[in-house]
Amino acid sequence: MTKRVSRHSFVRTWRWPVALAGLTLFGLLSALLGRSGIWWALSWIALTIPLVVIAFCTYLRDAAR
Amino acid sequence: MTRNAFRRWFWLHKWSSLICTAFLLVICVTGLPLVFRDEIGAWLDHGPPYASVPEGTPAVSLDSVAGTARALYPGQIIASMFIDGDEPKIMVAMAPSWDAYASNRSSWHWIKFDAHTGNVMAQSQSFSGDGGGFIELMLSLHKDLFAGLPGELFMGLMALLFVVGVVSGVVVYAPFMRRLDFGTVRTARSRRLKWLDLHNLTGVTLGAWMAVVGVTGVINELSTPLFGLWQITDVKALLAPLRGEPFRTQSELSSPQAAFDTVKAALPDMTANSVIFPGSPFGSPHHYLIWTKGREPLTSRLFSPVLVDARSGKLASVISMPWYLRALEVSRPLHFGDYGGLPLKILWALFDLVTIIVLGSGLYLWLSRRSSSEQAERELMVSHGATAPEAAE
Repeated sequence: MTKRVSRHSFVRTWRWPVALAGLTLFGLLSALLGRSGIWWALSWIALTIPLVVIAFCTYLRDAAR
Repeated sequence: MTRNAFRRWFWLHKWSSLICTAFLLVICVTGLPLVFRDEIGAWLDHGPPYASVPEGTPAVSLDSVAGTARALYPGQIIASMFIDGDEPKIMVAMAPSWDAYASNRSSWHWIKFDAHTGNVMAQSQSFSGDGGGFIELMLSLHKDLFAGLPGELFMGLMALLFVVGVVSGVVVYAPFMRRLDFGTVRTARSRRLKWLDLHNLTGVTLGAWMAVVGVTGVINELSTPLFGLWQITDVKALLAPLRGEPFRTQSELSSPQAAFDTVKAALPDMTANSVIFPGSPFGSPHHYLIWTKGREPLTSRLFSPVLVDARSGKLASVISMPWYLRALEVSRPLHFGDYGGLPLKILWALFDLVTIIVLGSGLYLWLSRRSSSEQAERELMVSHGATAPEAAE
């Protein structure tokens, strides 16, 4: 019982940070390893998302509710 | 996480961050213009434009460039030539002698040639003079605080503490967030709480980037000892058979253009972009050392030095770089952010600004702490539901 609750909270705590870290690493590597312009564009998009998330949580989250 | 484990990680986060924060702020502020160093350099360059030539015009011979440079400064040595891949320019570094070159950096100076016409475009009085003064200043503050190798190692240590701060910060993030949704920013209750939430949000969101730039920063700060290690091991072994050979003056050297052509013919998949003349502390006493690189996005960051015998003009060896210098080469773009066009540089600058917010908010949280730190930690844990809910408030 307790275990399931704590696993749930683990997932809830970490899903966003892990997803954002994954996006960041993808963005950093895709521009470095990619051989065509599309990888650069994907890199820019992937790396913009964490900034959008910060801006959203800071300024818009309350308004969006 | 047990209470003791939390306390230990929190202690580690607090002290690793506090020690490095002032230096990291310097690094972040000076790093901002450094992200755009190429753009700023081009903007500050008021030199004459390149001659307009029909497409496909070949570059002038390095021999004639060397001849012009030596005629301008008779008796001086040419230390190296750099052939730009992006612009039609050839930079020639000179010094009064190899002794002066090795002992006194300010004796270096350079001449910029138009690669198509061989005309002199600009000259510096000293090596750092090219309107690049501002960038040089930022780089010194960023890299070594004007203290040379000890400064590099010190700033490397600060970067290492920053990485420890980021990792321990991610570890203590979870207990703070146990009862909160991701990205919660509680603006209503207190200023301190708002900044704690912003610190957690920005820190965990950019944690991966900060860790990558921190680790690659540490590796970059180790470049001097790493190249030194390579020189006294691999390079020394490579040059051992030639020990005792007479040192040749510059007038006795084989042609640099022929050496360049030899390398290009031997390595058709590589681009050769600089020639280090024999006698340089950064090269070999008896060879031209020619730096080559690949043409793919990644391999263009991986350099291979090639030695060409400066008597016979024959290819002596293609040196394979040790793993630690490969790691250094890969860590450069990941630290500089200069490998994905201008949008990536802008993102890098924004990440840098967010990092300043993380540092500043962390400092604020420490300065606005309660009198005893143990009490402060308990207060943080309690107010963020890290303990049982009935203990809160």
